[in-house]
Amino acid sequence: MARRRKSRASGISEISFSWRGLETIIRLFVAYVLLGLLFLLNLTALPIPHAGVIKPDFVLMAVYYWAIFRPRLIPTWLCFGAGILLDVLSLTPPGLQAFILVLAQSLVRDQRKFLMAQPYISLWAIFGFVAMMAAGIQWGLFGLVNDMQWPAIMPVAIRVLVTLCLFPVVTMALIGTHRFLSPAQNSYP
Amino acid sequence: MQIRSRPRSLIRIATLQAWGPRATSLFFAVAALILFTMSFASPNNMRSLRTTAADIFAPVLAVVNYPIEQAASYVRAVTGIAELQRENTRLMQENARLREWYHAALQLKSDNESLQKLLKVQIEPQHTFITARIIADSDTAFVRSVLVMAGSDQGVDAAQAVLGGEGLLGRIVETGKRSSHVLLVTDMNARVPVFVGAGNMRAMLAGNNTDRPELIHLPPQAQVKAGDRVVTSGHGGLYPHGLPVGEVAAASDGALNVRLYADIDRTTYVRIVKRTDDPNLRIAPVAAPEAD
Repeated sequence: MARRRKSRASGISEISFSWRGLETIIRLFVAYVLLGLLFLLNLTALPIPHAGVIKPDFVLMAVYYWAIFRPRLIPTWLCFGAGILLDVLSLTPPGLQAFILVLAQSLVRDQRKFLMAQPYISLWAIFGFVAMMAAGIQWGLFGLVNDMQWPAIMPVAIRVLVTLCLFPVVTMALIGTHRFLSPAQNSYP
Repeated sequence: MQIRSRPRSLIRIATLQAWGPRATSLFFAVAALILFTMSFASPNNMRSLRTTAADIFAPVLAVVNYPIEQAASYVRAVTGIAELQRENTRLMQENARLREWYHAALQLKSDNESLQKLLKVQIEPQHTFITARIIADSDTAFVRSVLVMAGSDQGVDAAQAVLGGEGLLGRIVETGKRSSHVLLVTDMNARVPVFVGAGNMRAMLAGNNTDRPELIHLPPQAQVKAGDRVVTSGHGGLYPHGLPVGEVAAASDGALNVRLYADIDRTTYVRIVKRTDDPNLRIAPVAAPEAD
């Protein structure tokens, strides 16, 4: 009875809670739209010379950032799915980018408390290391299934460098989205 | 009691969640590696997955690509006026020069056709094309390919040659209903049988993931010089005969590279060469002898 009375008494607060819920959904929607855009930017044809080689790994940037600050925003299955889609749409062996993204997310998430305490410049430098490792593993695994023939390492290195250089630009958008997200959003346990 | 009544799969998922995010990551990482191994063991099994995904995402990618393409053309139009004036002067001079060549080519074509008729040579049919827009670009350090917005519904078929701009760009490797993957000639797994120079020396154009693929398997006595024209030979039947590919460019390390006529960075639309029939099995019609 007491419970029922309590629930009746909090009717208005329940309505306000639902509005807050709607607000959270809208805020989350903005975050996922940005994620979707970064995913599509990784795939779409950019009309700039050598776009393929210099196109940065936007998805890795988002996975890295959210693994530190909002790990629940990109669940592992979404990370896996995005990787598989990137693979099948760009003719790379399915599972290659999915493995890299899941691995990067898992490792960064494990160290998130340490990373959250770091200044931005350190986060940037650590991202450089993550991007380099991701590209290196990708390069190694790709050669294994490509008749033991590995592609030239220089374009891979250039891509890592461009990804690293554009990291602040993308993180500006991610930080903006982060601020826009309500603090009520679940944080990682 | 409630737990017993739950389906087993739900219990398993709940158990997996109880293991924590590390176990979930491990599960998906292993799943990714299994898929990766499967793609290595039997690549054809992944084809339907790829074509289905490409068909689903093709309209989205086309929508995303459209404003980027429009913005790029706008920027080119605004910033390239001075360059356009220079280009216009150059093109006018070139046009005057080419007009002379045009008349010479018409005369040569007429001579060639009459000689072929005399020798009863089967004349190659004219190519017909399907024009398609590039909607996704996976021209990366690993794979050189593009996704185009035309599939089996538009008459595109696997292994058709694809032209971009002035020359060969690649070939169709996978076709969905409304989208197709094109493997570029620059990809390290691409091989194109070609003729080099006026002597029609046979060679193989081998992609190396750079903008300049290499010429390999040239005859030992072959004398190839920079500027020699490279066209498809049609051997093997994958590519039709006579498609322009590029020009030989001498490399500093002694290797023979090819400067492609097609420029992928500036290509927005491609032409897919429709197959008329198997060029190796084409039957020559019997021409009536001409009475002199």
